[in-house]
Amino acid sequence: MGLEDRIIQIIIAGLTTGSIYAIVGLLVYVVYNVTTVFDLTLGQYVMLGAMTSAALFSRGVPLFGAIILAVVVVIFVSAVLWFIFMRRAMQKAPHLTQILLTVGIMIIITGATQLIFGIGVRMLPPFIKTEPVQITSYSFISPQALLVYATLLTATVGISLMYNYSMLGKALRAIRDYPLAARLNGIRPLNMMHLSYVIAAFTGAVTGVVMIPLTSVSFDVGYRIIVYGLVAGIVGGITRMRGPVVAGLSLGLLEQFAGGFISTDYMEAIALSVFLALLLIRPTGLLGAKEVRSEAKK
Amino acid sequence: MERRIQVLILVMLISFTIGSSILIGVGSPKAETKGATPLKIGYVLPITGAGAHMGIRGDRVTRIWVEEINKKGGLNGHPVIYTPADDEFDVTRGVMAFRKLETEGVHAVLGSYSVGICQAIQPIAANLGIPHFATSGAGLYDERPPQYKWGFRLNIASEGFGGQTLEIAKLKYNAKSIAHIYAGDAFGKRWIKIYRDGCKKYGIPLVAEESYDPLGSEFSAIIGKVRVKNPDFVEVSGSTVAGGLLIKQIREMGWKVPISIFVSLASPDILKATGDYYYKDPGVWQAASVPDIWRTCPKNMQERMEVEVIAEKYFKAYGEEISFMAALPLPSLKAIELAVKKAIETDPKFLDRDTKLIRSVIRSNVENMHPFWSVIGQFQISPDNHNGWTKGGLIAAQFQGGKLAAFPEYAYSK
Repeated sequence: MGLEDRIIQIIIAGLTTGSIYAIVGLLVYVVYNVTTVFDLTLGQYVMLGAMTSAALFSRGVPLFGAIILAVVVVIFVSAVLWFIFMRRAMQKAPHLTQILLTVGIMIIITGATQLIFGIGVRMLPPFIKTEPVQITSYSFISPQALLVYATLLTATVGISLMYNYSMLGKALRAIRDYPLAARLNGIRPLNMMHLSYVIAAFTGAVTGVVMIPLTSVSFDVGYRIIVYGLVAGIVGGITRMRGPVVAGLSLGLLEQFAGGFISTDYMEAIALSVFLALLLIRPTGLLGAKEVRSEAKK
Repeated sequence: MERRIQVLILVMLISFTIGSSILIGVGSPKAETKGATPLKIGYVLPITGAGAHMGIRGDRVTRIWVEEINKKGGLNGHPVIYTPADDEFDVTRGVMAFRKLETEGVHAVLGSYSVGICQAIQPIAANLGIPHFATSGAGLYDERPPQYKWGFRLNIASEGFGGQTLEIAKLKYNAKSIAHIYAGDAFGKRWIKIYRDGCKKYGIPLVAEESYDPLGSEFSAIIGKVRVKNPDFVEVSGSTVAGGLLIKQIREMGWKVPISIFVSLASPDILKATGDYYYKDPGVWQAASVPDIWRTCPKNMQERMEVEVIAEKYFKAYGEEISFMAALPLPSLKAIELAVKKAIETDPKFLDRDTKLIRSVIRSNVENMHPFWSVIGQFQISPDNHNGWTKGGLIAAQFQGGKLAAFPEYAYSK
């Protein structure tokens, strides 16, 4: 196994983990840009999608039926939580309360998932049952990893197209950039906030079901997922969509290169330290723009 | 109207949560007690968290053991009360769980499955004067038995598991070099030190040693790093699902090197994570123990006879075979049982005495106990050696033709 093989394998590994970080970073961006809240429940939607699909599959539901049902369940759960907790908080609660509320919801989802699905680790079989694709003599990529890349690509392109070319996307941007003007034009902020939650829940659930054949999932993985998502979102620059994507992928690559060439013991610490240093140099994030604080935004 | 619906949904959610809790039996299960003063045993173990797949199985076996003892009229007429405390596989929680058990007045504490938690509990157990029976791996008392005279470890010695792997590498594959990929936690770091010594003893160079994140899921960079050293045999150790994923990824990268999994049958979850490779790949071995594979062991084998009754009940109750990690509390429970019986024979009112005295006598009786067999081998505890395992209990195993097969010819004997 030569250096070239190792580097290619590290890139494959880095892009796989990085894609998951990037998608969750993207979800953080989607919700933050409408609500200005760092929503800590987003990792739970990824976990819930994965756990639900695996539980349904283990009870005899066909694979693709289980996937679709899992996505529907996650969207339903997110809607229920929105109407019970977040809707009112978004109207009246102080910013800190809103964030604390997401912490509470995160704990509720984790606890309820543990009660319903149990403590065991769950898995799904790969969606494409073929051998890993050989790239060089010693480097391979699993078809499931290709699906993870495809999910990131689809989410990025889909959200980007929606923001730039659809009326809904323009409404979301209007709420973000000019909330007062948007309200005067009949755009209801609460509806737009809820829409951002639906997009996040849907994308999170899909990510969960795509990643579970690679990683396996238990009820408590949501915490770890959201930490990396937040790092990708914040370090990438939360105000621009490409920020979390670039940061998430870079974080995955950096982690794997650190593990492959420096130390597997400290791979996460090295990657996160580099990101911390970047944040000191560029407090607005890698690709983030300076936030405009104008009266129009209030 | 909208407010009413919100309240209704909230009430439904709360009812559902409470109902589910009752249905799955959350809370401290306690054996029914009648008449005589009970013996109280506590167990710090991970019911939730990354080690839950071990803790929940150890908890099940302990319940079966308690039921069996109480069904037979208890220990010399005294019932046993069992109280588990969830450590969430976390050191801080583990210490809190231990202190909770202490305030509940337990006479002896088992646990945990984590080396880190056991190391944190040891000095507290010594200060409070509670006999503590570690059920973790990696030679906890190897280096400091005198300071922790209240601690015992009745588990297969770490060099035993290392030796089992090395027996397979040497005898089956005539390996000239070996690599070890271990979990980057307290267990793994302690374990790799022991493994280095084992490799020296067997004369097989350890050409690569790399740690992996026990909560991670992508290991190809680590695998590549090990592969460049071209070892003849790879040992993968650890107690989380990540170890299973690692094996799967080794094979998905087209690497056919023989692999041994350490304590593989500890958890069906770990095996599931290997995909089909554990069940179908003739190059994947395991350093197993008798409880993992007891049905294939000779009927007159001491460890088999010890595990048989509990294993049958376990299978009937939970629909799965007992495993090493599930059976792990049994030697400690047996030591406590023998110690308490001896104390009651000497003093029939022993369990009516002061809690501190009861704890102290249990400790002393365990420390001066005669050799005994229990499910994972023979144990001999003395004031100088609180690591009780002496021999037996280990076996080389592999899945062949859809069944787990034992290979006594590669079994480690100390």
